[in-house]
Amino acid sequence: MMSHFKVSTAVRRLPLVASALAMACTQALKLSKDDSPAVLSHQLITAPNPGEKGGYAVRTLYYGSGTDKRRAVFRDSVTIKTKTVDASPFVSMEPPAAKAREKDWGFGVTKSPINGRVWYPVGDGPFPLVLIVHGNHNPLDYSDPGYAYLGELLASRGFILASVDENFINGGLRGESDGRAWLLLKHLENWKRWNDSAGGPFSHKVDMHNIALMGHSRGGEAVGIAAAFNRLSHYPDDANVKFNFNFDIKSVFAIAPVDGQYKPAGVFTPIQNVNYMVIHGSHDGDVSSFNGLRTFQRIKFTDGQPWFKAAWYVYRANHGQWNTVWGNKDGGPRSGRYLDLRGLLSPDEQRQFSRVVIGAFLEATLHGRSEYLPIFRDHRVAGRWLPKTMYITRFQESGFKSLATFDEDVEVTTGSVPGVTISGDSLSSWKETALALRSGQNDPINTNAVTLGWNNHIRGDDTTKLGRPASYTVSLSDSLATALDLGQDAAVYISLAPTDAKPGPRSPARDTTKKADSSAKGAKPKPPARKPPKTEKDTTPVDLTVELVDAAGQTARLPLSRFGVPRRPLEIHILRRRDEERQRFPTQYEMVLQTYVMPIADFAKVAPSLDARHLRSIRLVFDRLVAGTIVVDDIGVSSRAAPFVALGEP
Amino acid sequence: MHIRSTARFLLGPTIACSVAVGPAAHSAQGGKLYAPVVLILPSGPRTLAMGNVGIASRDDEVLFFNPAQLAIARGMSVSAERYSHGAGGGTLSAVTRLASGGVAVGVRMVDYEAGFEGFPADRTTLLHADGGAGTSLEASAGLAQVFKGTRFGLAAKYVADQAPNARAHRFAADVGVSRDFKRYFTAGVAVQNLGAATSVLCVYARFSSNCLPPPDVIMTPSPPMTKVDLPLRSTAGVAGSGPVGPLDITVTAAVSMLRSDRVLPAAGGELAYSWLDGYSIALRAGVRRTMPGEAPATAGIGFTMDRLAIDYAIEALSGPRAAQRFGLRIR
Repeated sequence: MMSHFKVSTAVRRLPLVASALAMACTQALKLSKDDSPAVLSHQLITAPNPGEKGGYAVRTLYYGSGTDKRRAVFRDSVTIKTKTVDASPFVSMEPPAAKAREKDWGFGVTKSPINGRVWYPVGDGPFPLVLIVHGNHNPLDYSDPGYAYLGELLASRGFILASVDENFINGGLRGESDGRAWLLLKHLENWKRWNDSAGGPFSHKVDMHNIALMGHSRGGEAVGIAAAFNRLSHYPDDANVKFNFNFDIKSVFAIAPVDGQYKPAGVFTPIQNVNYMVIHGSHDGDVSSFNGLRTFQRIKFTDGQPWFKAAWYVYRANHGQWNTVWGNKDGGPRSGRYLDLRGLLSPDEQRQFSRVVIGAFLEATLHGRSEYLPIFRDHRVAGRWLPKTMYITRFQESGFKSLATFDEDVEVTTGSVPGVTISGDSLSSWKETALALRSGQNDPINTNAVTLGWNNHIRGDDTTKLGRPASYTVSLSDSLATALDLGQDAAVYISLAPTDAKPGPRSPARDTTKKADSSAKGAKPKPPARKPPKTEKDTTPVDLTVELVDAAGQTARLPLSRFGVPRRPLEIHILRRRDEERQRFPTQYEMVLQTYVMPIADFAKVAPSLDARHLRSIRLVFDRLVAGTIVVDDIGVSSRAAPFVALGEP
Repeated sequence: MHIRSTARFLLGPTIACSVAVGPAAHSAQGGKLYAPVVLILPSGPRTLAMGNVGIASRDDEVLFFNPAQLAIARGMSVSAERYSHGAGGGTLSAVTRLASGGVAVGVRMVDYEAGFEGFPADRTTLLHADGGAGTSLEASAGLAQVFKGTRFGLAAKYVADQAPNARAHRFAADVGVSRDFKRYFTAGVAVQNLGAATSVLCVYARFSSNCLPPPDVIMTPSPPMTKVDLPLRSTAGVAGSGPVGPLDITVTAAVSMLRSDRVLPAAGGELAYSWLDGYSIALRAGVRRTMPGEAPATAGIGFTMDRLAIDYAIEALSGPRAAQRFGLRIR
C-alpha cells in the first residue's frame, strides 16, 4: 500500500498557531505617562535657539592620508595631507586579526591615518575647535559622516567641527578605547600645526585655547580618556610612551558613552577640571545603561575655575539616532527582531535635542555665552526648544560643597564634612546603599545614596489617622555655617529620585499605661503579630517640602516641585519580548536622580528674615505625600550657582 | 552577497548532477544490498527536507551524519516518519557539551512489514506491507572534540536487523572531521558504518552474487551463506548559513559514496524568516540522487519558538508516494 501525502489540518493551521504564540510573547508598548506638555510649556531663555543655525557661511573640507584604499574622500579629496601615526602601543590585536585588517584597509595599526572631515565657518576667526569621534560600529558602514548635521550647525555658529575617522579600529576589537583617545590628541597636534603655520585654510583661524572634544558610545569614553591623557606626561600603561599634549581642552561632551572599557592602572579614568556633559537615551539598545552617570560622578573640580558638569537622561531616545548613519536599530540591521522600536523618539526629534544641548553647551563653555547656562541647572527654562519628552538631569558646578554624599563611611548620622549631623524622624526606612546601573550584575555607579521611606498613616482601624510628617534633617554646626559663608545668592543642592516603593503604615506611639494594664493578671491575650507591612507600588505624584532653618530658628519652606519635577521611575522596555527584558534587566527603570538647585533667595522670599549665613539645617519634610520612598544623594550648597539660577524657575 | 555566489557554486552542480543522473537502477547495484536497513533511512525532518544532507548540520541529529559536528551541536530531538502504512520509524537523539566538544547519544528504529522476499529490506520493500514483521535498530554514542579549529568526531554504534527469516547485529563506527571557513561555511567529511559484514543464509538473501543461482533446496547439511555488507558510506559536504536581506539562508550539499558502487549527490536549502527574536519560520527543499524506492525531491517547513522547534518534512518516494516526518527539537 502506498502512503499518499495529505496536508493535514494541523499543518494548514500552523502559521496561525505560530502567529498567536508569537503575539502572546510580544508585549504591548509600555511607556511612562508623558508630562512634557506641562513641564516643557515655558521658555524663560530669550537668547536665540542654540539648535538653530547661526549667521556664518559654512565650508567643508577633508584632511587625511590621501592614500585611503576604501574611501575616495580621504584619498582623492583631501585638502590637507597628514602623516600616519603608530597607534600600536594603544591598539593591540591578535596577528591574524591584524593581518586581516591590514588586508581590508590597506594599512595596519602602525600606520593609522589622521583622517577627518571638517565643517568650518567662513571668517577670520579664531574659532573654537570641536572634535567629534564616533564609537564602535560596523567598520565598513563608515560612522564619521553621521555628524554632518552637527557640523553644519556648529560651523554656522562660529565653531570648527572635525569629525574624526576611527572606523579602522571599529569591529571586533576590545580594550582600544585609549587608542581612540590618543588618536584624538594626535589630531589636535595637527590642528595646532595648521593654526601655527603661515599658510593653509586654518592659519591663525583656530582658537586653540577653546577646544572641545565630543564622542559617541566608545568615542564617548575616549573623549574622557583624552581629557585625562592631555594632562599626563606618560602613558599609564607603558611609561616608555611619553605624552606632551597639554591642549586647552575646555569642554568634553559624551553621547551615550561606555565607561570602564579602559582603566588606567585598574581604576576608572580620573577626569578633572573640564566642563563635562553627558547625554543618554532611556531606550538605548546598545549601551543599555546610563554609564555616563559614573563618569559624571567622578569628575572633580579642583583648580577653583568655573567648571560645571551635567548629565541628561532622555526618555525614549536610543543609541544610534544621534548619528545619521547608525539609525534606529542599535543592534545592527536585524535588531528590529528584538528591539522594541515603537516608543522611540523620531530621528529628527532626537537630533533636535542634541542640536539644542550641544549648541547650548558649546556656546556657554567655548563662546562664553552665559545666557545658556540656566538650561543645565533646570531644563524647563528652555521648554520650547526641547523635543516633547521627559528628561532627568544631573548638574553640579565647581562651587558645589558637599554636606552629605553618603560615600565616606557607614555611619548614617554623619555627613561628608565635619560639622554635619544627620537625623531622621518617623521614617519607615533609612539606609545608605550603593547605586547601581540597570544592566549588568549590579554594575556600580561608584556612589552611595540614602534611601528614605515614610508612611504618615498610623496603623490601626482608623485609616484616616495621620501622624506627624516624617522628616530627614541635615544639620550644620556654627563653625561650618560660618566657613561656608552662604549669601542670598547661594543655592542648596539635592539630587533625588522617588521610587515606586510604598512602606506600610507606621506603628502607633507606644502607650505605657496600656502596657502596664496588659501585663496585669487577667488581661486579654495578645493578638497574633501581624505580618510585616507589604511594600506596594504607588503611582501618585511625589512631592515634599524643603525646609531651611537658620540659627535664630527662622524657617522657610518651599515645595521641592518648584525646582524640578520629582518623577517616579520612567518605565523602560527596550526589548520586544517581555521575558527577555526581565531576564536581562533586574529593573524596568534606570535609577537616575534629578538634581534640584534651590536658590536661597527663593526661600528668603517666603521668609525674609531667614539668615542664610547662619543656616543651621536643611530638612526634607514628607508632608505632601502620605507615603513614599525616595533615594537621595549629593546634598550640598554652593555660592557660585548664580549664573545658573539667574532666570529662576518657570 | 558572498553566500549567494557560494550557494550557486554548491547547489548548481549538485542539483544538476542529482537530476541528470536520476535514480540508480537496480541493475546498477550489481545485486548489492545493505543491512541494517535503518542505516539508509533519513534521520531528522530538517535534514530530510534539505535532501537528507546533514554532513555539516548543527542539530543534534548530526550524530547520524557526521560525529565531528557534535562539537558544536546542542539540544535534543525526537522525530517519527511513516514510510508506508506498513512501515514507520523514529529517531531520538541528544547532545551536550563536553569540554571543548560534545557528547551525544541517539537511537533510530524502524518497524516494517517486509514479507518473505529476502534479506535485507530496502526502501522498496518498506513500501509494501506483506505481513512479515521486521525491525531495524541503531543505537549510537558519539564524541567530538576541537583541535586547532578542526572538529574531530567518533561514534560507536550497535546496529541490528530482525527480519522475518534472518537476524543480523553488529557493532560499527563512524568517524568525521569538520571545520568552519569563510565565516559562513562549514565543510565536513565523514565515513560511516565501518564494521564487518553480516552472514546470512543464501536462501534468505536478496541479490547476492555468491548465491546465484539460488538454491532450490531450503535445508542442506551445510547451507550456503553469503555476506551482506554494512552500508559503508563516505561523504564530503559543505553547508553555509548567513543573512540575506531579512532572511536567513542555509544551503548545503554533499556527495556520498556508498561502498564503491554508488555515488549519491544531494543538496538542499532553507529560507528562514524571523519576525521576533527567537521565533522563525523556515521553508526547506532538497534534491538527491535516489536509492531504490526513493524519488529525488524533498521539502519541509519548520517553526521555531525559542528553544523549541517543530519540523515537518516530506520526501517523494518511488511512484506517486510520499513519506512524512514530524519532529521536535529542543535546544
